[in-house]
Amino acid sequence: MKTLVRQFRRVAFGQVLLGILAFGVASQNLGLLLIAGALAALAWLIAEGPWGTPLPRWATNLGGLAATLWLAAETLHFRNDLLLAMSHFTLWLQVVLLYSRKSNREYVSLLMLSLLLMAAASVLSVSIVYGVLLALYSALALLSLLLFHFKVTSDGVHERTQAAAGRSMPVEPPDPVAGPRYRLHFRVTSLAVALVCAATAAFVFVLLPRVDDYHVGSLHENRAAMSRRAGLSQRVDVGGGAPTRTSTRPVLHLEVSLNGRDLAGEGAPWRLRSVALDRYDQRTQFWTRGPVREIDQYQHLDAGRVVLADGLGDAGAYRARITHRQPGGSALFSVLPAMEIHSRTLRGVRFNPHDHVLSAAGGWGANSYDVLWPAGGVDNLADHLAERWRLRPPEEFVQWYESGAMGRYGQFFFEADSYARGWPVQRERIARHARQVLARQGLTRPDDAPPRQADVAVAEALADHMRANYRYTLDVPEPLPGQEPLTAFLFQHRQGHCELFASALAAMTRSIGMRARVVTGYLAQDYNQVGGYYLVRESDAHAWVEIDAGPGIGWVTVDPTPAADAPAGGDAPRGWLTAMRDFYEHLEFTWLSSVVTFDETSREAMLGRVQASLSFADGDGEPTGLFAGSIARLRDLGRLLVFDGVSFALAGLIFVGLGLALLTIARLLVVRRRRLATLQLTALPRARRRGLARRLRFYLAMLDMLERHGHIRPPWQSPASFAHELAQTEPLRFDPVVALTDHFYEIRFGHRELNDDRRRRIQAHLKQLEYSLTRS
Amino acid sequence: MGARRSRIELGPAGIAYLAIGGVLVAATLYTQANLLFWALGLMVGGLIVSAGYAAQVLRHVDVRRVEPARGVVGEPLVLRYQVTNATWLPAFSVVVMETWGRRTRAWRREGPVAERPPRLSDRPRGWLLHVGPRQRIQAQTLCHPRRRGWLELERIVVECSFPFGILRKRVAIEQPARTLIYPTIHRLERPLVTHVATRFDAASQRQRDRGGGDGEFFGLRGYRAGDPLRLIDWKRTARLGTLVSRELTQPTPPRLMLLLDLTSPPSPPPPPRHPGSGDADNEGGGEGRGGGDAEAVERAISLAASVICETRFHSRRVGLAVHGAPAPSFSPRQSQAHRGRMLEALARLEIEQDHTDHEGERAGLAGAGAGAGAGVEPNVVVCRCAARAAAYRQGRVRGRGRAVVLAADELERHVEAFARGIDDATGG
Repeated sequence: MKTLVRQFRRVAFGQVLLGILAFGVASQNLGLLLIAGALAALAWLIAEGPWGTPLPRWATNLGGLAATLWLAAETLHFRNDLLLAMSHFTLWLQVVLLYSRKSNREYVSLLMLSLLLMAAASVLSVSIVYGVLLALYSALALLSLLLFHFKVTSDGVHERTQAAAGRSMPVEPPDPVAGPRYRLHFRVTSLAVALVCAATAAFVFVLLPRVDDYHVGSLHENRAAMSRRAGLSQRVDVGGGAPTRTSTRPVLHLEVSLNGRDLAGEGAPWRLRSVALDRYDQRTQFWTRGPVREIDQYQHLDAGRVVLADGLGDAGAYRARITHRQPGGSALFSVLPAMEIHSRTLRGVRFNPHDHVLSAAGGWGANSYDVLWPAGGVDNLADHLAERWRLRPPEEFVQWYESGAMGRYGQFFFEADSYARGWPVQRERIARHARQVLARQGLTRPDDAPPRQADVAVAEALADHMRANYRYTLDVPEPLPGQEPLTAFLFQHRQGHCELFASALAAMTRSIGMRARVVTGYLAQDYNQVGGYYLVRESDAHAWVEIDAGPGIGWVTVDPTPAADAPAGGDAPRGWLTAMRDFYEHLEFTWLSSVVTFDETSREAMLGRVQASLSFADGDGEPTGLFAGSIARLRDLGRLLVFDGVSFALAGLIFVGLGLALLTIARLLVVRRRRLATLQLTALPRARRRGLARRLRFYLAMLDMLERHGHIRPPWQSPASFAHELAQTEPLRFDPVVALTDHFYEIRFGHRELNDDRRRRIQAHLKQLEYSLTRS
Repeated sequence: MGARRSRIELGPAGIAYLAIGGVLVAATLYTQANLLFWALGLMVGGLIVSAGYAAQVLRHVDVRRVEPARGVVGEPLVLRYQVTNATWLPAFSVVVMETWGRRTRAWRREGPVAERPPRLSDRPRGWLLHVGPRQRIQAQTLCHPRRRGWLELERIVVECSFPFGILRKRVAIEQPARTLIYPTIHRLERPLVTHVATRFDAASQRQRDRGGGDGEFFGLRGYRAGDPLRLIDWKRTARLGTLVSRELTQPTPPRLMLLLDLTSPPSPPPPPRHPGSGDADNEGGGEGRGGGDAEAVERAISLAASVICETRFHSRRVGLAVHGAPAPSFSPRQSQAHRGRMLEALARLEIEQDHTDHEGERAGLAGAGAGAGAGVEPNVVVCRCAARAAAYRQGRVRGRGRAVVLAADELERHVEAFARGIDDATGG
């Protein structure tokens, strides 16, 4: 029984420790992870280990009180999220319980708190690392529960027997009577239980319908504040130094298809548009959105779909599926000209019909949505906006107000004529510079001319000039005191990052009367070969310019940043490390898209696929479903094996297999090393060691037999001392141990051979020992 | 195999499991977090596994009790079982226990422990970690009998709540049996044993003058076929011209005839009541009333059993006669079976409520000890009460003046501070 209890204590401790680690990963709180993890790990030495002493009851009560006070402080004083505060509370209670003297009741509390902590962490995290930890935790929890069941049942029998015997007559705990092949049966049963649980979990996961209404708004916001947001900032700080370009943290995934066909890296790079900034503040040196944001309009997703503009057309449509990697945040990204948004994770969409900025309203976890636009493009998106989004003449405001369309009321504050026009800083100097550049290209533009198609050529000429004469760098020289950073960039340093390039082009175009705005977003160019999608990282953040090309054309994208110096990735040489990284990224993306963002659409699609695969033939008797799919797969097997998803899947399987093999080899080496130490053979030469280990195998069998019945030889104890100690307690029972130990010494140190006679005697002793152990 | 019933019930752990599952369902539906859907699925999986396992496990489990020979009050009694699992499914964490009555919970009301005092302090329980498919395992339970007599065993219950304790499968197998419980056996103090032994030695010395043994020289006789050569007295043989053998004394072990007198003298007339004395319980004085009377009888029986075991332990011959209860008499002998029969008789003694020896009192206690009808005069008398013992010591009982007289209420005085195990005490 002692062996079982010891095993349970180890597993339960590991489970609690793993839960704390997983929560630290889920909450992305390194400090908490280090402090709580270290305290919990230390509890093994202080309270659990062979020389450990649990803390007295008053000390653990004090710890519980401190945890309660901390909970009150977190909720009332720091105004932390309730879920986080409760999670911290359960975490600290677990740490306190780890240091306490633990009866079965304390173990129940500990395991329950650990399960609650993992439930909270499951709400918080979308990372595959957490997913792996969750799987490990589930396996440990299963083992821990099974062992705990043994312990509780055995303790219950012992307590009742002890109570019946009275205090004056101590009763030994019941010996764990087990039949042959107990370990094998236990492992197989545990595995079967785990498999059934996993299969049921998969069924429940797929079959339970999801709802669109979420009730976690406040939690959502707090979680978003806790973690990094997926979106970009709503402003650009021109004087604030270079943007973060060193972080390779994944932000989102982009899959682009044309009429259902995966483009597989064609057409890159893709610009994912986030915010259009039209106002530059000379004092703060910020680009921000002006009053145009007042006409942002909300639209609830109808059947998971919002139509922004009509005319998707019959020529086919591009579909960009964007999956955010971080929960929270209101930013949505689009690839212009976005005409429809499809999503199940979003409750609604905010759209601005003037600057076409999208943002999320509602939704949960890492958002996933599709952006659709026509294959042939659209000349002017504003001309195709759906009736719902069109700006109305002022005389209709009263009717809208009365009809409850309050969002349109913001149009009062928005002056369309002055939108994205004018330049406040050294306008004349910048305009002169722009004209000089244009003159060299043979271009001119009157200041008072309205937006027109020729403005595109003007903007491109200026952009070409910048790309040719300015250098991209993140080490932006500091402007002199009182010097405007844009002026310093344009006329002095002539080097900078994408925000400076975009701001300078916007300044030049606006200084000569054009309408221009700075747009921030990401440049998707890192194509993941394994997953077939673009991976967008924080380092892919980018800024560019949109200029108004007048009626019929609308806003046109112009990027003045030198292409060769822009954030690279697509053309980088692909080594095996890149392939490994792609594989890991794909694993994480698969986890994210198939588990974390699994929604009603995914569920229906999966059920549809299952239903289709189960059908055998269609109405015409043509083979379909599973049959046809299998035939097709067999037919295309040769092609698939050459290169593609299957080969990568095989590579993944080989990788996992290799990992498992390495783990097995490592385990075998550890076990072998331990056995050699047990047989006191480590100091011998390798050749002698092998022969002796084979001959002394009976001693290991004896130790295994004894260990199964709770008699474990400590590493520090010599075989003779161990046998002597056992024989002193029960001479008749452990007489074979003494005899076998004598044989061990004779063979190991006495250079005796293991002949047939000795082998028979050893077998007889082993049988006798087994008999006496099982019959006692 | 007797009739068997099986049932599956929800245990406390199952209720807790369902409560946690309810919380998880609420959290999952509220947050719609996909990982919580997985966790919920795992919990549902646990429930399904529990139900499936409970439905299949113990379906063809056979349990046979290995009936114990006897037990002793106050000593642990080991009940052994042979558990056979004939199914393909291994059974883990199996609890084996004894129950009585119609339902498992009715044992307190209907079983033997419902009697006063109870024969067992609790249901015997045993635990098996694992019984593999098509395996046969020995299990044992431990119980502590609290009263002598027949311990009726009625039903064996096997239960298993593996893997999570949510559902508990119980299989009840009717298997009536009974085991005799001996009275409590104490180890007597050394002075008492020495005192009794001294008297025995004095009595047995007279019986040493018998030939045919292998002790000291007793006499000479003619050679008989089969006499060992070392016993031939060669000098006499040479002188007489015929073979003469030496005959050696045959030491006879001391013998003890124990009289267990369970009668009590008639109660003296109640003393005149003092005015103002309202304590009715003290009225009538003396012992031997109600529960105290039964307890005194049990103590006397226990003391007699202890004397029997102690004298047997010292290789004396011992006999037994009981006065005041229907029981057979045993002439002094020395064997383990003889000792067992006497203890069995003591265990099976049926005591009537009123043991007042009116007849004996009228006859000057002459009838007492008639149980020594084995023809041997009792030399140790165990009485249930001090008054009766005093009568023996004062010689008011015919022929009992030289006997060692022990009273039940002096039991503590004669018992050593430690108890021996049953095997040691009974020689088994």
